[in-house]
Amino acid sequence: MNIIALVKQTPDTAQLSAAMDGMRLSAEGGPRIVNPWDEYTLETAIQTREEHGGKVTALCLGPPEAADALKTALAMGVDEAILVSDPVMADSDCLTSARILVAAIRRIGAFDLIVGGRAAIDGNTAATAVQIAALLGVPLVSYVADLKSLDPSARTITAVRLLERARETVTSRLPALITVVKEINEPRYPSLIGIRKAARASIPVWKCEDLGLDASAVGAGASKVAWQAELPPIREANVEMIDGGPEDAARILVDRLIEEKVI
Amino acid sequence: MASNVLVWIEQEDGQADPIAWQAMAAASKVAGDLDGSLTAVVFGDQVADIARQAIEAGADRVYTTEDASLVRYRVEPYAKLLARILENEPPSVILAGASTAGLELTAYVAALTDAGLAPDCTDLHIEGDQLVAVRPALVGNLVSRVKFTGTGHRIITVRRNVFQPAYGDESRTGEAVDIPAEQAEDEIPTRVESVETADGKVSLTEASIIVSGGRGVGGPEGFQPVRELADALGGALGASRAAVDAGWIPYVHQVGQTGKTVQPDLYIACGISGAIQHLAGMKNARVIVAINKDADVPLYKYAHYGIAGDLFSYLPAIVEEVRKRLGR
Amino acid sequence: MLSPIEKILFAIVAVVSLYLASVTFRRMIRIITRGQGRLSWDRPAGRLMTGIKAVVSQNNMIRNRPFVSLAHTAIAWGFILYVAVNLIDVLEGMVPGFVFPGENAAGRIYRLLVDLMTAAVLAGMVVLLIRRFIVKSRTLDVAPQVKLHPGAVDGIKRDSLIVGFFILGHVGFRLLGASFDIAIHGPDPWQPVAALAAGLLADLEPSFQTAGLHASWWIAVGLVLAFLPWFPYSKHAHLFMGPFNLMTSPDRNSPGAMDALDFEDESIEQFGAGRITDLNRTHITDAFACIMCNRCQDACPAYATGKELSPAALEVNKRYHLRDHMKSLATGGGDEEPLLTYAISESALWACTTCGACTEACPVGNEPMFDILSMRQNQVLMESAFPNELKGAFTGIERNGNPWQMAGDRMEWTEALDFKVPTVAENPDYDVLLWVGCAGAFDPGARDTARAIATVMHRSGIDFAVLGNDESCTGDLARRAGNEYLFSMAAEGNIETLNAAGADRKRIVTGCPHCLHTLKNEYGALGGRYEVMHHTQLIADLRNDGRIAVNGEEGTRATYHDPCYLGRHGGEYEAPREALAAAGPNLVEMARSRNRSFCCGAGGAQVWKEEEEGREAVSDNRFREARETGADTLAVGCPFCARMMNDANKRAGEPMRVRDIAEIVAESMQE
Repeated sequence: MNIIALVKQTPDTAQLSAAMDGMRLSAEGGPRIVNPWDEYTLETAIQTREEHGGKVTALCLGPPEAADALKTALAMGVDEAILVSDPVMADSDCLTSARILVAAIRRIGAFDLIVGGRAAIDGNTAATAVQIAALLGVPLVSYVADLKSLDPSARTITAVRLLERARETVTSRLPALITVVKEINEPRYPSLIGIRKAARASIPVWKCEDLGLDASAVGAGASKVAWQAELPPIREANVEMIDGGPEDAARILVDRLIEEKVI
Repeated sequence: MASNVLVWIEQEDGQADPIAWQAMAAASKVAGDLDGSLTAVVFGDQVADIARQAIEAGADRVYTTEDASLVRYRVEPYAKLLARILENEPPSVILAGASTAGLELTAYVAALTDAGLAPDCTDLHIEGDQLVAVRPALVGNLVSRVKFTGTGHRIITVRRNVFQPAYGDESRTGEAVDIPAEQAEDEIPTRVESVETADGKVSLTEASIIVSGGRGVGGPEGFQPVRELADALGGALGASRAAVDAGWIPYVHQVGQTGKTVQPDLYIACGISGAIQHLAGMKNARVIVAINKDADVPLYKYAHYGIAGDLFSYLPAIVEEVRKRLGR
Repeated sequence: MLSPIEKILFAIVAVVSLYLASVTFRRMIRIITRGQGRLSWDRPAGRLMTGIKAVVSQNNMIRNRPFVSLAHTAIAWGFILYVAVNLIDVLEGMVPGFVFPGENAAGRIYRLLVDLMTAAVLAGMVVLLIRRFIVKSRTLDVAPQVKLHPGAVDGIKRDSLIVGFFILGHVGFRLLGASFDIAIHGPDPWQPVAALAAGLLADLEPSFQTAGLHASWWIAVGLVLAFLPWFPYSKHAHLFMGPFNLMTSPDRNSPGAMDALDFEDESIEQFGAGRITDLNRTHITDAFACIMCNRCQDACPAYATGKELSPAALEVNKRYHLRDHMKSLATGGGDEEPLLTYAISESALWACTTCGACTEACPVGNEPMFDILSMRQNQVLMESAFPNELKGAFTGIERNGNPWQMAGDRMEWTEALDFKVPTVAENPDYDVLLWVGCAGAFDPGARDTARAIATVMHRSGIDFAVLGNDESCTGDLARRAGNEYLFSMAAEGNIETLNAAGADRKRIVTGCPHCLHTLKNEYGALGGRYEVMHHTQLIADLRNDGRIAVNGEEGTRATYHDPCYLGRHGGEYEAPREALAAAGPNLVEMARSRNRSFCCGAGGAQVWKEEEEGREAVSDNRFREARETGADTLAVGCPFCARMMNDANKRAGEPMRVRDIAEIVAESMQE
């Protein structure tokens, strides 16, 4: 089995506090971690290799610091890690990112399974992995909560997808791309031996020319959307206590929650 | 400059998902703003009723594809079909609800048609002559304003319950267009083996809404109103360690340091005082509501809204209100 | 006395016995040297005294189970004497006409002493045999949920029976020999016990009497020769190995202070103990020293609450594994099996609260707690197989500097005070550094304690400062959970911060015994040497110096729960009691207090995971005991004890008030 694990490095939202705003956290230099869903991606890829043999390659698109996320991947137990990083790639939208990653996947060569996370905690578009499947023309099985069976000789995979109101069991051909949700497993904590191995490993960095991409085909210029991040309206620092009887309080609370766009 | 709008009507077993009419409402607004026509797109098997409802809800035209292979949403046949439809359309705005299916379908179609994509939006408006989509990012800690820079299709999904659904007008008429399916069953690489409904069994770690109970619920039966609110909101049921230790609810529901760490958009804590062990698991929720008899529990320090009262009288009222307002 | 043929025979038997013993003892020594590190043998004179004192005083045993220990003392003292007696008997047998020390006053005293001690040994042995085989004391059993070597239950009984009869035989026939001697040579008022039997023998044929004398000598001495090579296979090797273990055990800053692992040396490829030879030599010696008395099991909070852990079973399993593989282990093999397959179950491994009660209870200086900690290191650093809940705590220490992954401000707790708590940056010339700890900084309950400590210091006019957001988890929980690597990183960071703040030249006060223990006893090995005290020690000092006036309400009754890391690991039992007494309440002690205190259930990283499967929660067991004192207040001195006792109190319907001593004192300081 040749397995490719898609990994992103994201800000650490657990570091957020009242004293720290989202802008500061998303800005360069803020604490960065492996995208929480991608820990499950890596665990899925490693477990699959442990069961069926083969090799896991972790692939990450991001700034040079994103190599840290790949160090974590190596420490967890992937066999190889590749960072795709080029300053001209900055501000690529998800489709452009997907194209860059597809070029990198083609360079890696033949694969049986690509694993990605449901979404990345920063952009939360849940689109890039889907678009990679579309561009590669391989079957997509998303929101996987349980990898029920994988048969390398029959070239099939059966998985349970976690949908909003159902669990759907799907069989697909291999090679395929799956995206996983947090229910699928418990990501391992890197062992010290893993951390040491990761520290010694060198991570190749692929740039546009390594992927045969023209600089005009990547980055903001090649993207179909541009975005600007802003802080949401400042909320009251203190709790708003809702007084009144059950009916009144219920009405006010539901009003607030609708205003907050959380229900 | 005028631009046509297409909206995908998500359905299951011949029933439209409520989010589809919310997307339809957003689409009507955009079509009005952009002075374009509004086309609904319905895929499935025996979906004529939905096609008619779409016209009643505001569509000028409905593209319908009925085929046994489309009876249940699958990304490949749906996306290839929608992409082919879009190939024959001038650059348009495409809207769908940001359900698991909607998010996936739109991303796939954007890749096939080289379109711009703005998923999970909470607001759409025109600035100058540009369509701007507003979406939360970084777990609600940032607001991202997305503008489309290309000349092709613009694809947008809208967050559930943000747009008021479009109401039907039975007198409306529109054009019905039948479109053949794109892929035969044997060309589709995935096969659905079985479907199990997951009512009331929303996954804690993926839930965007969690309603939790603690020591204050008083016993196993005290979880009933908590569970009802979770169901009414389509959320997951959580619990504090105290409630789990007491044997009132299984460990799989435990939120906290030694249970699940969660980061939903909304966390409603009922009868939970806010011991650090619990805070550790849920403090990063976007909006926290604390309901507790005691007006002086530590959790209020972390909560955004608080109700100091008996949860057994407040929760049923909230459940009622939610059902009324969200039409469930 | 012996005939020439007997003498030749004896020489042959002795040579064979000594040769076989040298083979088996060498095996034991080789197995010990397959372990890691070295046995401690610095300052040999002092260590020798430790061993002698322990053997002679028998104090390690008498403090637990006094009655049974009395029987043991009789046997132990008897056998110390019998080392000499056997040598003398051999000489008397081999050298014609030699009688020690002669027919004089010394000889009479010698004979009297041997005679009485022989009786004492026999009586002691009978008591112990009755206890084990007739009364069947349940303290000698191991509960069924505990992993135990399949041969151990019968093996221990057989071993005990053999030794029982060896002792009865050896000492009994020595006595019989003395009786024959009296029957042959006439009455001896200096051997009153031997004289009792001599009367019965007096009428026998003289040749029969002589034969009896020889036979008794042969059986008494022969049993020793027969037993000698067998010692390393028997738990009764504790006779030598117990004192040996006490003498060669490492010097620790505290009974719980762990050794640092070397992460710099890239050639080291094993961290912690996966197999028996990964254990330290001193902990392999533990297995040979163990007499399987189960005193540690009696003291263990995990065992008492029905978990799979028994520290005694761990030593028994180690020992039986060594016994099964004695030869192959001595020759370089035999260690393929992971410890977790035979020594201890995984649940037991993670049930240990590292309270130190087992090491405190052990008469021969065994440290089963350290085996567990080494095995946890293997599970975390090598295998990455540990309770999943701990991951969050590890990640929290790594990323947020606290195990709850709290991102907030470490100074927030000071906001509710009516005075300002300065940081080191704001008050660089401080006298005392208040180490708040993660609990004090973030846990709503512990924040009250932190505020009480700050209030006491403020009102006493102490010039103090805190590190504020520069403070970070000491790493105690990571260390006890086996994540030594994370601990070493946490420690390095804190040592740098503390030294930059000049804390190495000042005094540190902390409200958390875990922080206290780590800062005081464990950072030293990593280059951070600090004078650290617990807040109750500060309060006791302030009170003794007359620097604080308290006017607490008298007449209330409080009981005090000794935190393991302040008491057993910190050696401090008095200061908290003085501080509490100063605030007014009458102290009612729990049955298990001071060095016998029963853990709250939080330590050893337990509070960061779900409690292992068992009969009840450790905290409920302890809380019940506190409640039985009839006190209305349960005074604590540790934020984690406070958490555990508070939760247990709530589960019980809040019959008590759980408060930290600092809070009780701060309250009583108010007008």
